[in-house]
Amino acid sequence: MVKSVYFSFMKKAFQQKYIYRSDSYIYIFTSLLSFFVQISIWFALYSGKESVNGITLPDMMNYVIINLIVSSFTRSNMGNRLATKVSDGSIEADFVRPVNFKYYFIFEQIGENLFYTVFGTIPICIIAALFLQFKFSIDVIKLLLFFISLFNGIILIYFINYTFGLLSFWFKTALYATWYIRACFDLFGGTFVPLWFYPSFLLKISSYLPFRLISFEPISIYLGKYTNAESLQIILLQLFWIVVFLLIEKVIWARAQKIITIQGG
Amino acid sequence: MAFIEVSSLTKEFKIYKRKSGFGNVLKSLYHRDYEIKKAVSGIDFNINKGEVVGYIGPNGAGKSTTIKMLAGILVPTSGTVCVDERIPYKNRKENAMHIGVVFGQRSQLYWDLPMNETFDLYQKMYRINNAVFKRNVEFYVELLAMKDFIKTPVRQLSLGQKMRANIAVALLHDPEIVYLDEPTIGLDVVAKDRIRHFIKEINKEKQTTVILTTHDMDDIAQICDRLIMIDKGRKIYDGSLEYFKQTYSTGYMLIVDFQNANENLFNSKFKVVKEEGTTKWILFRKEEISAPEVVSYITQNFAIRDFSLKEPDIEEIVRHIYEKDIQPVAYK
Amino acid sequence: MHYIDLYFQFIKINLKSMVEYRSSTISVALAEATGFFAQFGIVWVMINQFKTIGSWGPYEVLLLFALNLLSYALASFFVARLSNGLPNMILMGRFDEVLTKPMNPFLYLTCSGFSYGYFCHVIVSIIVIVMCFAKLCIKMTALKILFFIIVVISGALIQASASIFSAVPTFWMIKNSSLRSLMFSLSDFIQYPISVYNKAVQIVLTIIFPFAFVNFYPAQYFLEKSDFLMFSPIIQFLSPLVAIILFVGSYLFWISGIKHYNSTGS
Repeated sequence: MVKSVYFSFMKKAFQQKYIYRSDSYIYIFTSLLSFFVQISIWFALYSGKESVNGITLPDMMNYVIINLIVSSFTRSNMGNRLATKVSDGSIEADFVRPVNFKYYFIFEQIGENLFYTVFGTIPICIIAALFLQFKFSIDVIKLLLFFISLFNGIILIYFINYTFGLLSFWFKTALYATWYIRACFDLFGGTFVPLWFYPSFLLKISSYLPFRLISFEPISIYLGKYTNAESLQIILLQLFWIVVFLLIEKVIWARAQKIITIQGG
Repeated sequence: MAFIEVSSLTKEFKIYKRKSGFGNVLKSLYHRDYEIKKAVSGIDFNINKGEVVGYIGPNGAGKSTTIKMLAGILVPTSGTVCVDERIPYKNRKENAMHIGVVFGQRSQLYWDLPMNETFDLYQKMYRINNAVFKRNVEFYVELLAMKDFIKTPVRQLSLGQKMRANIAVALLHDPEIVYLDEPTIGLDVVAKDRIRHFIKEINKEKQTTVILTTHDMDDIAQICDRLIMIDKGRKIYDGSLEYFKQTYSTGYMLIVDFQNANENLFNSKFKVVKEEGTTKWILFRKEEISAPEVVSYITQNFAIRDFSLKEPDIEEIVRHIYEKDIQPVAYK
Repeated sequence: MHYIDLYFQFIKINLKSMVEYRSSTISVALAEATGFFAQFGIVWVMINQFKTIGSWGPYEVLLLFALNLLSYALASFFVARLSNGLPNMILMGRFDEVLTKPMNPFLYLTCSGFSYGYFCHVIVSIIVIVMCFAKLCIKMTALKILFFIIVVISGALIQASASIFSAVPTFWMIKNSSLRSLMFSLSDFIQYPISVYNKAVQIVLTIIFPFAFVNFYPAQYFLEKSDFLMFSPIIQFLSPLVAIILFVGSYLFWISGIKHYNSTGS
């Protein structure tokens, strides 16, 4: 279903980043710093406490590490890139090519993120996992459920970013969709502070939004906060949201195409 | 002392070599290989107040580097540059008060606002007094026919309108020298004419010295009296436009449409350079034979249907020089 | 004098632009505000659950957060466009135009590049600061208010210096996006009291990248705390001095960058 050409796009994006890898050394240092900030905060918050709301410090360490990887892998500036392509007209060249625009665009983003994750984040995480107490789960089923839900979560955020990025077509400007999504993701997806610590009114709002399903729930599965049955429910909910965004995207895409063909971009 | 004096002006750049591979990247931290590129190599010229000079050369010849040194943006490696008894890079701000710069296709106007907002800002920046400011604005708006769109936000203007506004802005403070970099690029024929006419008027009215860098030879032909040409950092011509045409041209071209094809022309004073059907292109130099002489020779000896005379064309000559070609490729 | 007049002219023309291009202004402001509200919300959630970080209570932490934001926003009004736009300007050859103006290029860029999108940040952070002062029952005398204004201005100068330091290498290197993100990451540290980090970090944030003088040290004067780590209590008053030294330093660095541009063109 997914042709090898899309993997080429992914590879190309990866290679383009690789050429400027000296740039990435600073990025690595930067993510190391932000990682360090988070760890220090949690150590300070937990000083003198064994567990809070049933969550222990080792739990939090795992949380931070996995979140770091997910974070770097799900970076997105697809909204801005789309807006730029529309405003400078290069979008037309993309339409003339015999490739599915959506896949090409998403795979390019993946290629870019892969570079940052492989060369930046993962080394940090390995070092961190060695020095901090990282829980390695041996429960095969749990691990499997974790990986499936993580995979779904990542697909979900890519779809969300892409779909909102498409709005740039409509409005001709960047609309800064990515910023809004990032803000909602951070707040309602618990990327810094896990939802276990949230007050009930915020939790309620989160439960209606897809953001917590992206990294928070998968990590919860990994840390054994759910039974296998509950984990499966989460996965189903993720699939539901993925379908929802697929549909929304189709609608926006149809409209966008109309606009492009009528106005010539 | 001439208004602008440039003497043995030289500018060298260090071009660092980029090597790949981790070992070389490490090495580059303490030592890098470089080669020296001489962008401008011992240039001399003097320009008097009120001259309109065309400053031309192929890409990479060193034109913009010279202009940047005149404007005070770059510091020369050696040699001297003196503008109105000031050294530009040493007195950058003062020099800036007396110059105007127009970059083709690049706008210095505020995008979302009508041009008069930018005018007001520049009045403050260049400390133009109210009377002079008002007079200049009226004069330029009149001369450039901008009354219709003076209140329109700049982003809604066409390229031609934007260029006119940009030139007006650059001249608000009555600079003694104006540097024009490709001022007519991308403009339609009417717009080009307007800009050229404007520059000539300004030069006539205010004795503004104009230095024009362009690849459009019509600009040069219509505005400039003097031509300085540089190539590979060196000056290869400095003199009047007329003399340039005479000296460097390959000659005048008489295009004759004969009654019959394959007529045999033979004359030591001119040369047939091209034939197409019944038409022949005949090249001759005015020093060796005059145009009437060629025409009468042809009409006396052959039956012809029509003819036209083409003068040496600057663009042609320049192309000839750039390519070091002997035969001109085509005439308009 | 002439420069003050000119400066106001720049502000006027930029504000006029903002009004003209209302939709763009509003969408930027909204997007940034949302991001910052989310941050604020996250910190609030954390404090709400854990009650204290180190010896700092909720409103004390929020005060640090808001001071950081306020000084950052004030600095960004002037230096944001300079530090974000410099690489592009040099790449596109637009920097030359700056040098043809009869003005100090630094002044020209900070004035003409006035970015109006930060008003939102300023208003909200001031509201938060006032709220924190109220909740903590801090009595403000005329002298304290004066010192507070000095602290805020000092903080803005420090943040501005950081931006300038991260932008100037562009004259040598062109690509500086990574340096910018490095600077942002470092400033993230001061959103929380730096006593939670280990000694090495505290030293770095005090002596090498003195961000701690933006909020951590001066705030303690108002909060009547003595969390001075390994330093003497006088450090709570040193922000203005640090700010001036840093700003002068960043300006000198800028000058050297321009000198380099003068001799190499790019």
